[in-house]
Amino acid sequence: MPDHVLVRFCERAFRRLLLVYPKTFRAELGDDLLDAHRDRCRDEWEQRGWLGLTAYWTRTSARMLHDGIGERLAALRSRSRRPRRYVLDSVRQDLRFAFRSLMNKPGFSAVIVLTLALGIGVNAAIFSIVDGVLLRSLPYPNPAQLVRIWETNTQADNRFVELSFADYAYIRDNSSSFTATAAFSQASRDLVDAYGNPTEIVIGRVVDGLFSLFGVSPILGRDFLPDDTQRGVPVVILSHALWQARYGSDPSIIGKTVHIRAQPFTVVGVLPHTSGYPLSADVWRPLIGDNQDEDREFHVIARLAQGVSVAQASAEIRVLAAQLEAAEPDLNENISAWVQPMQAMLVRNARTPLLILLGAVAFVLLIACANVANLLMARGTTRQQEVAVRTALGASRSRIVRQLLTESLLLALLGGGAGLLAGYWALDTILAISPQNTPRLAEVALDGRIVAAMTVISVITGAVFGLLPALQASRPDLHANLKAEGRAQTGNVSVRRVQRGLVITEVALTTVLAIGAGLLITSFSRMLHLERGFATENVLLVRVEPGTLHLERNAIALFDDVLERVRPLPGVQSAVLSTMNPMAPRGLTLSIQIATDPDPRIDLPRVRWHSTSPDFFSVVGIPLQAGRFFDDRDNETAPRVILINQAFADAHFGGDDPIGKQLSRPAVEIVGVVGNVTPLAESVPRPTMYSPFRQQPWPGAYVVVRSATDPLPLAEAIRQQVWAVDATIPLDDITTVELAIAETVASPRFHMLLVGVFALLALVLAGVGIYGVMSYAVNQRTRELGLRQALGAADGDLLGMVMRQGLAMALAGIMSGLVAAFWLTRLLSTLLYDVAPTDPRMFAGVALLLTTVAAAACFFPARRATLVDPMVALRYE
Amino acid sequence: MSQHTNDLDSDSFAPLKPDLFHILLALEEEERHGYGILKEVEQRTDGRIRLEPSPLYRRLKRLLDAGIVEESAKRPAPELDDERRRYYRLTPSGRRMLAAEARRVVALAGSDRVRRLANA
Repeated sequence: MPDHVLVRFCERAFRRLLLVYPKTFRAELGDDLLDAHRDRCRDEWEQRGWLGLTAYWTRTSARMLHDGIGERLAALRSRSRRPRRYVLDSVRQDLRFAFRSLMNKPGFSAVIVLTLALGIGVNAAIFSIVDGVLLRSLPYPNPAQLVRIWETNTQADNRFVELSFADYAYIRDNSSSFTATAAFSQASRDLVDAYGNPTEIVIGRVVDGLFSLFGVSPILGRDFLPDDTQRGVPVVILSHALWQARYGSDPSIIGKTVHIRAQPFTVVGVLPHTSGYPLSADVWRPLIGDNQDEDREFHVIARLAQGVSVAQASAEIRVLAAQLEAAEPDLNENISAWVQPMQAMLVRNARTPLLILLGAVAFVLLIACANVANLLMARGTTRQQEVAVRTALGASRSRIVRQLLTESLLLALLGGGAGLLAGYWALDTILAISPQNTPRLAEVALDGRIVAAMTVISVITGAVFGLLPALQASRPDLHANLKAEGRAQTGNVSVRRVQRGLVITEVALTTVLAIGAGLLITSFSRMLHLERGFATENVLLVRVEPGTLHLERNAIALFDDVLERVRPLPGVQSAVLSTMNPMAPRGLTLSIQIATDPDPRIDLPRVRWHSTSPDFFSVVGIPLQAGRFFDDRDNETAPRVILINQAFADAHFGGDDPIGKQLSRPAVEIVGVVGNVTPLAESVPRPTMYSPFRQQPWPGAYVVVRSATDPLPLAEAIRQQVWAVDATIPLDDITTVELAIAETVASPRFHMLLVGVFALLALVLAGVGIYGVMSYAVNQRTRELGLRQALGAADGDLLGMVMRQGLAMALAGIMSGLVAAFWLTRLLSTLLYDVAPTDPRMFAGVALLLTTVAAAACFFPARRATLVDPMVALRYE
Repeated sequence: MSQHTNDLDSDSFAPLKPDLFHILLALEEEERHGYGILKEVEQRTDGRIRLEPSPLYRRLKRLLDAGIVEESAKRPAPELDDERRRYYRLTPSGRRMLAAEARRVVALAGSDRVRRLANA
């Protein structure tokens, strides 16, 4: 009876799998083993049908792979037992020979080592950053258990809402997913003591054992005690940074008193050095009853219990949030809760740009590898005669491949070593220019693991990109190669095909990188030249925030004093007051109602509100569109007036003239319309209204100073004048608009610079690659070119022929690159401002640029083709 | 190969793993081909030990290399025979090894404590 088709299939499959076994095993027992398998297959088929057979087939396939490899290893072990000396000797011989042959061609070796060093160097640097920022676990015990608890407003689609005290307490008391929970809120406060000028600090108010949750305990003094919280004892713990900077690491600081918002606090401890958020406040104090209100201001940190996953914890607190919503619907409507791993939370904004940089350097490495492979292949072809001689003298193919591989591995390791050095240098440079808001930068270092990873990458590069040329060069065509007598083969089609493929690939990769860089550069320049709506030159912003202490004192009088003292300072052209920082015009929003609105709505529109000096607008160059600016008539006793911006007018008055219109809430009259101010982070200007400071004073504002030259040197004099009015006002926030702009574009600038540099490297490498391949091709064809010339081909014909071939190759690469870029650049979209990821002009421009580079890279070899002397070329034979 | 056979005196196989013991036991009775060994072991152990061909042949390779098992020239009756198949049998040193293992097992089983445990 013939076997079932499935049985026959199994038999065939097993026969294939038998190839995994070493040859000796196959010869001795192979057929027998297959017989046994067939018998078993028949049994399985008869007894259990196709199910049994399938199960047997799967099981046995895996088993045969395992056993075959095991047998091979065993065979290797028994073989290597005897001739180890021989192997070692020949390795030493290979190495010595490799060194000698690399030294024979120092230029060739240097180009390869440098190319690899470039690729490995940028990868080592970026990899270190990715590792330090994204991969390495947080520097706390059991960091994977640390999570942040968020609430989420399902209606507003905001996934990152802090918790109210009540919600925190409920989750703490009712959840079973956590072994510990703690919370804190942060606020800016002024700190006054005998150690220096008043300064603004970030104070963290702690609920429960925040420090112990992180496994951190004070290096001086003690942690907070439960008693501190319950009795509201005014104690603080200082951060290590503040202790060092302000108190000169004074070991006797414990027990001293500092004033925060004019309240005395006793220092009870100093924390060890911590690396950024969440333990990033300058001063910590226990939360006292006064802040246990409904504000959602608490950052909640928890430690997952053993074996509880993030998803399980999320599920549990989602239930708790639902209970809270049911209990107090008006407070917790649409509020849910979830858990985020601490590490993911810390790096969520840094992730995309870093992964993009990682992609960019991977491209650079691939391009470098393609170049190296091309060079090695070109080299391999020119060495065919040497290989042939060695073969004729009795070298086996494997021996020759090993020799050539040793050379490429040696090159790769040299390149890797040089690359690591370059990487150290590149990392320092990159860290120096990287934006300071990148999380965890302090933890970045090029350590042993990166060195190991880069070494592995080098070795793989050497092995993979050396193997192909080695196999190619060692192909035994003894007769032809020996006969060649120093003349390399002209018709090595497969080498050229592979070389072409590599060049096309690297041109494609370069195209993608160049387009990415071009997009980032365009985006950056649009950011810089954004029409902001106000003057950016020679404007100094000094934040003067007297704080709650001065609420009862007349803010008008205080700021009048300040302005009176600042205005006469030499260099100051004008000094005005505004609650708005034009760089970040956020701030209060107010509900408004327009008096003529026939149908008063329940959900009133909200607009931004700021309070300014009368001449603020002319000083910072915000233009008047209609009506009038404020003037001295608009004082405390005059009717209340406001200015609105164009966005307000457009949104609420459409085509009507808003001048003279009244709002019923607040009760004011509109006297003018001013231009919009567009901050970087917002694409559309928001409706905004401005009140005269005298009519709507506010206990904190920017003193805006305009000067003829760079205003920053004025800062110290202005500080002294403000402190002459009130010595307790912290004045840390002093900046020029130009500096503030530089700060907001720091990240885009960083990404643009890096991707730009990588793209430039890629461009150079691709140019070198095209040049190398074309020059190799021309060299190989010297005889043919000479012949053509002897037969009457004009210089132009030869030039055109070589150029055409090179450009065809480049164009194929550019086209594939454009297609790939079309898909890949959308990953950049979050980093782009005001430019589409598939901007056609950018695509066209890069295509043109690369064509030009390719043309230049082809031109020199092509010209050499025309310079071939026919006589010399023919004698080449 | 002879070099390996000398190694045999050292206890490179002892104590025998159960499947190896069963393979030798199957061959002690009569000469068998590979699949025959599988079936015999399966029957003898009531299906508790179900050898797969590939591990079996790895073992056979070791046993052949070590001179414990050898290929047999004798054939069963032609009507039962598949002429491609190879038959295996124990060598004298294989028999000695099996006997030694059998003595070890009996000695172990003969001890009072083991008997007590078995009856418990």
